[in-house]
Amino acid sequence: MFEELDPLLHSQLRLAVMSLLIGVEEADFVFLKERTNATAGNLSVQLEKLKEAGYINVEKTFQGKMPRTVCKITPKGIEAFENYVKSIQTYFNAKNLS
Amino acid sequence: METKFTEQQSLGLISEMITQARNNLQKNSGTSMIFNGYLVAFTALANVALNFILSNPRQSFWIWLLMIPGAFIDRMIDKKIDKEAIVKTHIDRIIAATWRGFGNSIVLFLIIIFGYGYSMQNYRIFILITPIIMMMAGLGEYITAKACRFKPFLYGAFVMWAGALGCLGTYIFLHRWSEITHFLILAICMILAFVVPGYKLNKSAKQDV
Repeated sequence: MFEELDPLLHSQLRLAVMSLLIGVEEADFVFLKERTNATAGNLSVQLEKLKEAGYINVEKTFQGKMPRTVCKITPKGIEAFENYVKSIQTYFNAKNLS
Repeated sequence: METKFTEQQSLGLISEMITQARNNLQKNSGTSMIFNGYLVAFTALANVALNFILSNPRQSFWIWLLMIPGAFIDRMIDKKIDKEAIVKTHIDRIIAATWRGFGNSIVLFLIIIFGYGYSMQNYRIFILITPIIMMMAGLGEYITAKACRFKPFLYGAFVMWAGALGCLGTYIFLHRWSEITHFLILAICMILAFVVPGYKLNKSAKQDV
């Protein structure tokens, strides 16, 4: 029996965002949008969900007159991501044994 | 819109995104190296020129005070790049810390060597300043090259280390002119090891971001 995958992370765009953020200190909304090929609207919705879960911090500032959104993974987000990867590993191990 | 996907696909996605984040280079990250390369090369050449122009050649060394405003300008360049960066990686932080450590080590080294030199009245040890600073810069470039996996910095590190050895060569073979040739070597090395890789890094970062 393997652990159930975190439903919040088992979604393509949210997992892509978390995988990008796990490898960097912080990333701008523009960077995440470029790397995930998502639309601005969809990305905003998914970032909000991750923020509500406490997986990421979202900081809204201004660079000159331009608004800027910077995202950073939280310790809770790192733990959730690590658990997610472990669950997948368990799934593959179980599959290989059967 | 949410797309559910298989465990296999999720592993593939994690791996792809982590690679993308890791291979990212900050836009204009080579600008600071270009600035420092030109500044030190210009100052070294100006020192050589002033050595021949001034009636007291020892006064020519005061030109190195240009490094103080240069350090402030460099800090401003770094802050601007940092502000504009759309992503900050752990590697960026390691590289920045390496060069801050390099700057601190140089200040400390100069205090130590001038302290010893003047207290022992042995001014000959000042001949070690250029090769030792070049050796430390080579170490900084080596760490940078390994951290960001950018080969031109690796070549730059070897150029700086070769330059440091070259300084010893000039002391052995051109004893009287060794101080002046040190500055010529330093100027050439700064162009080859800082300016050229800096431009190459900016070019790569432009393609990457």
